[in-house]
Amino acid sequence: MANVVLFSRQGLLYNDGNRGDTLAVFIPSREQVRRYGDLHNPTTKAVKDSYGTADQTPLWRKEGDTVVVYGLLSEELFERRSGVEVFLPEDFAPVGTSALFYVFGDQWLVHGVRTVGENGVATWGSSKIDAKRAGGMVPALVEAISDRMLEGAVERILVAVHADEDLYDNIRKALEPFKVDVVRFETLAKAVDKLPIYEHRDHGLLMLTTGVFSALIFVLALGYMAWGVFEERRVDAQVVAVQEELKRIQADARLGKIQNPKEVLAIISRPLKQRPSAILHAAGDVATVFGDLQSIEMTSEDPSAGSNNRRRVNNRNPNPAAATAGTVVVDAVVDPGVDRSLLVDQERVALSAMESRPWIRFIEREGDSKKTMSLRIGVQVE
Amino acid sequence: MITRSTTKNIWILAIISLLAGTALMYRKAEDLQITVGRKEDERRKLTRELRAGNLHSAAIADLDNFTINEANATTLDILRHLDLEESDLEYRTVSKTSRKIGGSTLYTRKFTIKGVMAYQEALAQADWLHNTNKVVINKIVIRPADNESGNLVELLVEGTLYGLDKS
Repeated sequence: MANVVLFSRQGLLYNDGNRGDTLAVFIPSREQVRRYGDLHNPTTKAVKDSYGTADQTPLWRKEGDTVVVYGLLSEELFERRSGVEVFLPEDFAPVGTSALFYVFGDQWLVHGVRTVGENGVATWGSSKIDAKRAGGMVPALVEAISDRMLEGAVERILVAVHADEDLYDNIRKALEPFKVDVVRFETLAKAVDKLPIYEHRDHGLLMLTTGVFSALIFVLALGYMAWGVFEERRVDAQVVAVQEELKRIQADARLGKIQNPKEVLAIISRPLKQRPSAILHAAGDVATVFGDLQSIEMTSEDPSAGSNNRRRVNNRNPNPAAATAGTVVVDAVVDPGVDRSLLVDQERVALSAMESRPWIRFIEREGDSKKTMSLRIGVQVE
Repeated sequence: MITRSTTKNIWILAIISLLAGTALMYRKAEDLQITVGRKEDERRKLTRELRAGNLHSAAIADLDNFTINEANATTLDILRHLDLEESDLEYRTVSKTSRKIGGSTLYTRKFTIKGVMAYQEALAQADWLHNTNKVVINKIVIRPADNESGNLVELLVEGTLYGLDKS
């Protein structure tokens, strides 16, 4: 149920104390009512200017071509955070009503009378009666209705009560002889063609939603910025660490005036990866198949050096077979003793030796002396 | 009691402040992202330099280990370089050449090491020299020792030793 308020130029007269949006009934005074026919597109500001008020809010609405200002809004109502709608008493009167009596609590009785002018235009005049001064609400109401009926006009009278149940029942009983219907004020419906003479909505929820949304994006932006700061610090730390590491490396990696270590390393030969004893032993082992080993000579070249301008370590032309990558040539001299086998037999022995020793890539026989036989043995090292 | 106007003004002020703060922080955060991106690029560049520096450092270390300082390359220093200063093997430098590589001079010594020992010792000695990883063994000859009997052989190692001006 809305909060019902009655007010006039003197301020708030009645407030039922309910929570929620406010439905206010304004009782205008004749001195305050003004009509303006020259405001074609009226706004509150234009009406304010025309009415001559700077601080207070005018209570107005357009009726036909005329803007009617009924008075000024109470400051207390203007400052209410809940929604407020202000209507005139006649806005609640059903069609055909010519007099109305609204009871607000046990003190205020609003009395409205509809009059039709010579031009056929109906106007309402409203007034308030302080029932406490008039001897109580029921006597005051009875007296007012009696006076009205005594005028003799046939009319429809509306009596609406916004008060507690006891007062409502008392009024009903008191008015039974007058055959006037008494209704609760809350049951009255506003005329659909009547706009409030003032209204403001409760924007609390909108403000709260906007505020929460603003706070949310504020927090997000704050988080985004904090993340940026964190990232910047992290990257700064990484940059400093890398710079320090670079400085350390640059300080450590000095060897005289040498600036091109990789170039120098590319030029120089590198040792074989295999142990020489393994190569010598492999070649010696296969050489003993042909006789007593007299001498063994391993000549190594770095297969990875591969530079054509590198000087060879011996003056012999490289054997095409020995040039095979990953092969080391070992020259062996053996004494075959008295057993001077035929070349065919020696070839058979060599093949047999190679079959059982897959790391021997080739065996070549070189010139013989009277006593010895020279062999060139290719040993696979890679 | 807080009036509607005051409440409205407070809300508007708070919302405007929050939105202004949001805009300010978002702008700051965007600036930070640009800064972070620039610093990331710098870090990547430095990391590349560091990687290259590591390779350079490794090459320097490799070269330092593999070569002798030419400033004091006496025979004794060479023997020390090869861990042979207490050995009775006969060391002889056969030739010495130098070559300019960029701004550096590479000195190349051809040397021989000779000695008489048992066959197994000869193989072990060859391995020892090889394992020092400080010379290139070009040739190893093992043959029966002259005027010796039994298991003794003559070991002849021809190798290459590199030197650099390290000072």
